[in-house]
Amino acid sequence: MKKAMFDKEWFKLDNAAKIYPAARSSRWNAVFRMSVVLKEEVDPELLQQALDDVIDRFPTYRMTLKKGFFWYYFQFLDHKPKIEKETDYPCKMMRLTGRDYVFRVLYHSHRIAVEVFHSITDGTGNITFLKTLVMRYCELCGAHIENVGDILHYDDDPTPEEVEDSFSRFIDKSKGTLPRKEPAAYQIKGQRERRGILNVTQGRMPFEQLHSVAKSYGCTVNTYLTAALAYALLKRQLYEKRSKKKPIRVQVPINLRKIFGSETLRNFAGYYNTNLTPEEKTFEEVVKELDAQLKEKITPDYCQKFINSNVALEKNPIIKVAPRFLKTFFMNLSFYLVGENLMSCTFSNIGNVVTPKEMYDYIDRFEFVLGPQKYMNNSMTCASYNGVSVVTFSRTSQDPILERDFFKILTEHGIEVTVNSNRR
Amino acid sequence: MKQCRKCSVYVDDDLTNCPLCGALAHEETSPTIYEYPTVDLKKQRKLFLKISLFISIFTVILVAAINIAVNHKISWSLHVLFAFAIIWICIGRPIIKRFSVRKHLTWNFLGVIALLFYINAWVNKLADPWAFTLGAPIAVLTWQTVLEILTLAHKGGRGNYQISLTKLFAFSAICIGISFIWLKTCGWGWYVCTARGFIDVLTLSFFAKDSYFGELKRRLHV
Repeated sequence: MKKAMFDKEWFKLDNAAKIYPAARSSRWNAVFRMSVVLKEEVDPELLQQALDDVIDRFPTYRMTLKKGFFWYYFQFLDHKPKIEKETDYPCKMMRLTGRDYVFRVLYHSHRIAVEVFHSITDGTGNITFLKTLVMRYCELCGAHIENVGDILHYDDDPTPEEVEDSFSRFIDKSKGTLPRKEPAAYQIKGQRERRGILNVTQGRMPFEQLHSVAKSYGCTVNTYLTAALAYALLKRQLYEKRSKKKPIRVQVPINLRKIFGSETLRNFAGYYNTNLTPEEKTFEEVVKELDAQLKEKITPDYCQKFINSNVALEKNPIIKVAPRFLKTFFMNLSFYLVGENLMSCTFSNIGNVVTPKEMYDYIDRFEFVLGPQKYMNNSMTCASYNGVSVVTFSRTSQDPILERDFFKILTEHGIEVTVNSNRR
Repeated sequence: MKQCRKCSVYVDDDLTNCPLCGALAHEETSPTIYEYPTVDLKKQRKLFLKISLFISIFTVILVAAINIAVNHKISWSLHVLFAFAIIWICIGRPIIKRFSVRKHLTWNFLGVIALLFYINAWVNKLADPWAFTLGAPIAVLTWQTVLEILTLAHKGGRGNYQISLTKLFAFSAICIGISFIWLKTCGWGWYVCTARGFIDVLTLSFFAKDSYFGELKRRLHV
């Protein structure tokens, strides 16, 4: 049993993970999904076997969330997780019973999806898990993979670095903290769907086309997509002719592992809110403005201050000794005040997913879906694999306003987009 | 591959309409794999729950209206309101939310204690607080007995039951304090509960040292 190497059967939640169980509501509990679409239909028996083989490689996944007196914590579960057939909307509410796993592996037709509660891990951690799971599945299907590359092999032992709380490790109080005062941002409103419904719209496009268009604007693919999203939001606000215009802010997660050299598979991501003043602008101006912001503002110094701000709050002696129910109340309040109201939309890009070349025969594409947000209606993600980029919008409102405007911008730039949706 | 002429995007073959604008997609071919499962919307509605809730609210309002019409004040209709509240909070909610046995028990016993206090308040406006001095301690003693049996019988979730016993010990001790503040004296009931809780904790410390202190450490994050 691999858990023995950590000498204990429980984990404290990392710094970023603490907000999610506290701020959850009956509509929202921070679930996101990463999935892979295979070229052949999924074999449930092989998938279950792959999960059984892989699960001990990821000790933080073999946990359930329990309530402590001061904080929530993760406790090891004896029984192994079971795969489930997908029958519901993506990112369905995760039941935090203290007895069940806080992630699920789903299959439907050609898709294998891993949905996790954000307290376990972030996007990078989950894509690592998914890649290991799919690699094992491909092996069981008969693939002979010689060079696994950066994929963690299911037979290796987990390392202490993979389960560390990197926020606590990389705190440096001398660098100061970030100011948290920001005004509320513009958000697209609309009639909300019933509880539990998440409309997912995906646009698939050739990565080469996306890359060459981004290059023609002198920016990266990530900046180009951020700019297209911000531009769609800006146009929508100007079209609505509101008397009081609000800034457009797209929240972009930052993978702190690259900056600090961490190997953790738990949460270690920061974020930056890009800022666009609500006035008439051309797309070129938006790209230029956001490119400058993303290049100049996201620095190691900013990331250090981000970590310091988050950890300082957790280490505050008054917060430390307060019982959990009081913390829950104040974290909920702070999530409302400095959480989603300060951004117009989230855009999370996991970039180009790389697998061993033997897996190309089995995998068609990777997808990434953010679950319903607490107050916002829209979020956007991107995942690229083997020359195909998949941009996914998840929406809790009825009308696909933002995705329509966004994909219109892309098609006007000559990108061939193929769309799909779970809403029929 | 079909195309939406309005949005200029290609539409997957399994869709008949463009998901962005709803317009009919052209150049139709035979449908391929459904990318997402078809979700039965009716399943989501929890119709039974909604009807039950509606009947409860309707009954309470009706009874209150009759009470006001007959007696010109809300008096006996409060009993109906209280009964429905107790049923929903202590029985309905744990079933709907699929609480564990331990949580079920907690809410059931809290319901019993609330009921005792309600009867006491209705009978003599808590002038003689027998619900606090006698009723609640008896309920706590029963609760302790059930938890002790479950701790011995239930191997898997033993830690949770052990912590519940510790919480009851702390609760009984706090009630002694409340009793002295409120009534200036304390009856035998809370002393018995506290003593029994103390024996429970002592027994756990000796005979289930590792699991008990391990669970305590996790809960206190030390």
